[in-house]
Amino acid sequence: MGGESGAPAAEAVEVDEERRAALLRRITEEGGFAFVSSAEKAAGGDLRAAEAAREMAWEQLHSGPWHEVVPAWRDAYAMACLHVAELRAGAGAGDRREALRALDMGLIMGGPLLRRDLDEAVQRIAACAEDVVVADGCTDKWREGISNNRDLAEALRILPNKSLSSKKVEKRPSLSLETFICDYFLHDSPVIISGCIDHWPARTKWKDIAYLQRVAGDRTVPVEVGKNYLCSEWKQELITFSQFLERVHSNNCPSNLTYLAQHPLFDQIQELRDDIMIPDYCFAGGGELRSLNAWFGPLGTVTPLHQDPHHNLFAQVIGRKYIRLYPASASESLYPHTESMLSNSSQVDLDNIDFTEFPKVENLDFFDCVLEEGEMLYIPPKWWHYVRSLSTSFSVSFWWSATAYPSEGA
Amino acid sequence: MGADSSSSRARSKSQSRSREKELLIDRLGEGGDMNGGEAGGGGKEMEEDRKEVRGAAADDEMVKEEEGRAKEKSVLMWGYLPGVSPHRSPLLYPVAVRMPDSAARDRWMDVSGGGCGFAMAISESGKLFTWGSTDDMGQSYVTSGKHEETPEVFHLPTEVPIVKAAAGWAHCVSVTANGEVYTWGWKECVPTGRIVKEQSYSGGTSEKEERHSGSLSDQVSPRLQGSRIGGVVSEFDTGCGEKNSKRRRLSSAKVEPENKSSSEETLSALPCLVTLDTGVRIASVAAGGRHTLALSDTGALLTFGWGLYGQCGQGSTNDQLSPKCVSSLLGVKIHEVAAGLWHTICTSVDGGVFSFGGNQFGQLGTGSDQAETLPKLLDAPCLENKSAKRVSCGARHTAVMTGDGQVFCWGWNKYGQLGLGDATDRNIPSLVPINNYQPKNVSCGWWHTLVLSESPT
Repeated sequence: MGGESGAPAAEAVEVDEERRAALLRRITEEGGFAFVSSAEKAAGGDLRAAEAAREMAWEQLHSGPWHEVVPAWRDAYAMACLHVAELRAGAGAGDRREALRALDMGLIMGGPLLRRDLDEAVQRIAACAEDVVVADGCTDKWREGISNNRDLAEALRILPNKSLSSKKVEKRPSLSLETFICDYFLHDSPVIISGCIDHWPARTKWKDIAYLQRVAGDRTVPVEVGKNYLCSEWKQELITFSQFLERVHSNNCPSNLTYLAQHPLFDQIQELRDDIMIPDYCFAGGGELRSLNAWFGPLGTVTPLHQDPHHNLFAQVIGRKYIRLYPASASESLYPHTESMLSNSSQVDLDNIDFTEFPKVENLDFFDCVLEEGEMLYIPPKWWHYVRSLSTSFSVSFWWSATAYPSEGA
Repeated sequence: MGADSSSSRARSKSQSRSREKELLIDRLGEGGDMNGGEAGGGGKEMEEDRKEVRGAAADDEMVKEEEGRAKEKSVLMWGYLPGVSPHRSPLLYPVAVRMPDSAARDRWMDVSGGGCGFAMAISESGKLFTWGSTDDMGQSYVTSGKHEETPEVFHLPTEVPIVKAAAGWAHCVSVTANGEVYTWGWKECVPTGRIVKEQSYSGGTSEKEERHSGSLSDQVSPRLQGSRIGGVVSEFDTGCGEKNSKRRRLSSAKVEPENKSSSEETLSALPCLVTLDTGVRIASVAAGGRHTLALSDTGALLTFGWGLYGQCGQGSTNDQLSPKCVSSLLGVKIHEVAAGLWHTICTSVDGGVFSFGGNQFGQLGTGSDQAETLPKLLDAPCLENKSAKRVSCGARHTAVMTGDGQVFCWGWNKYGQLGLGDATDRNIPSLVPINNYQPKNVSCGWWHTLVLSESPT
């Protein structure tokens, strides 16, 4: 018995080593001799060499436009992060945070080859977490933040003009998959589906700040800081989830608004992934799930009017968000940016529309809604959307592409 | 692309000069790893000795002294150059690099930043020599020439002597005695110009022909589109170039990075004569990660190449597809230029220091971590009443020597490359304590710094 159960494990180790050796050969072919020799020293326990290897790989990742980076270097970066983390974690409890940060950087910027190794290392190191102490009053303040702007009249004061006065997005409780496909998916029509995610553990767990601190507090996440991504003062930062929660909590001036937006958080943090489920609706069209992103932030975050190429099911797990939709056919009247990197964004600032510059917007019909906790909004491909949080809000977006239908985004 | 051997460039002049002068090696990376950074793209390292090039600017007595003696110069090399060492092991001590037999009557004149995994030097007859490329390690021979341990002439489509050369991450630039500039290597670093006819590695021809806009992969640079920008990880190519540039040759999306071996021709360009405005003569050149600097004999700075961090100094993050004068520096006569992985530093004739480009580690010395897309004159109190004489950039740090022989460093300091006794980054110029020595020059390696000095008397 013992021998039998041992064999596959040994095999796995071998496969593992073969994989790493192949990566080092590949890096050698790319000319990364210094990386390879440092990585070998790192594998032998040399922390300084591990860090040097990580620096070398990091420079490679920034050696040109992102899409031109040779993929093997991303795997090499992940490997170096793994080495740094293992050696740091071995050095004692004080270095635990550093080790986790290294692993998260590997998960965020590294390639896929050593993903499983990174995940396993995270589990190992996270297992020795100390107890999280949440300050008095924090828990209640967190819940208050989530329940902001219950009163719609109140909310209207911070929403764009004409909000909730045009067409309402239809709301259907517990919609069957078939009806969803026939009435909405095939017709490129948005719809709010309610009562479908009540069984998600996230619905209760994410209301508890102590839970979020515990499962993710020491993890490093990329966040966006500033009014919105079209502003010049906008920037991205890497901070710990604890620091992020603290900022959501204190929610100070708008220029410091911190938004964990469009990040595949659930690929990174398994505990949070376990709190949600992929809705069956995302299999409509027989396509493929493209990405699962987190959108987590305080009251007042804005995603300016833009469009995406995929089908999008936007689940409002915690708090509420205002969402305005314009059909894909309205593109011409929404003045997309001409620069191709921003061509999926409209030049129109819905919070402050310049009608002399963008006259066609004025009489344009739109759909809108306040998406409440526990509801999901289906946004058809290429539909323009503007999103503003009305409270502390945590949403999850499911993007998928359909294969068999013409409505698939480019 | 990946390559090594940052400290591999020949670095000899200083050694051969005179007895009283010593090379202070300011903290090479510790732990026995002398290899500085991956891709030790040179370029920036050998900013020294450009006096020969500038002639008139030679206020440096050392050079005159040396020329007066007319002694034969040697090139010494140490560090890591995989193709040269018998077992691909680093050279731990300086070793003389011999002229090949085929050029027995020629002599070494100057050393250049060697680029990724290869070394470059210039001979008295104005030939560019390269060595260090191997035949089996995926080198880009278009960039480096297929030369192993013996230096061989890298043929350029001109008979005019080369007076200065530099290499960046994976591209090279050189300037002739006539002030003409040639670039080759990474296509996106090579602006539209005139390209040499098929160059064989054994001996190039000098035939020139106009490059046609339809050839190769002329196309708009690929960009991520359709989705919102997200994630710190995404370094998008924001270059949108000039509208009138029909011949854009930023790398093509079709080029799969996986097909490295077959992609050499599509990723690398043969030496191209850089088109300059009539009357512009270039006196000196420098190469950064993927951008290039050319300094005219009148002290005007021209930049081209990768611009995502503002390293071209044109007020935007666009790629600069052809040499363009940094107009905000017009009226300032530029004396020296140097470039790092993402940043550019230049000094004016009257000793001012201007910086622009990426600033993640404080390498601009402006006191913040904000990138600058336009040249910013440093107004650090410690530089007040001082005049910058020499400047050099490492990958992510900067060093300047002032007229009174003080050395200031700033930027990335993880490996002590600022010489300040710690490993804390600095974002303002910081005086390096160099007691009992009289600094004569400073030159940064990828992750280290060198100072040439005179011993106390």
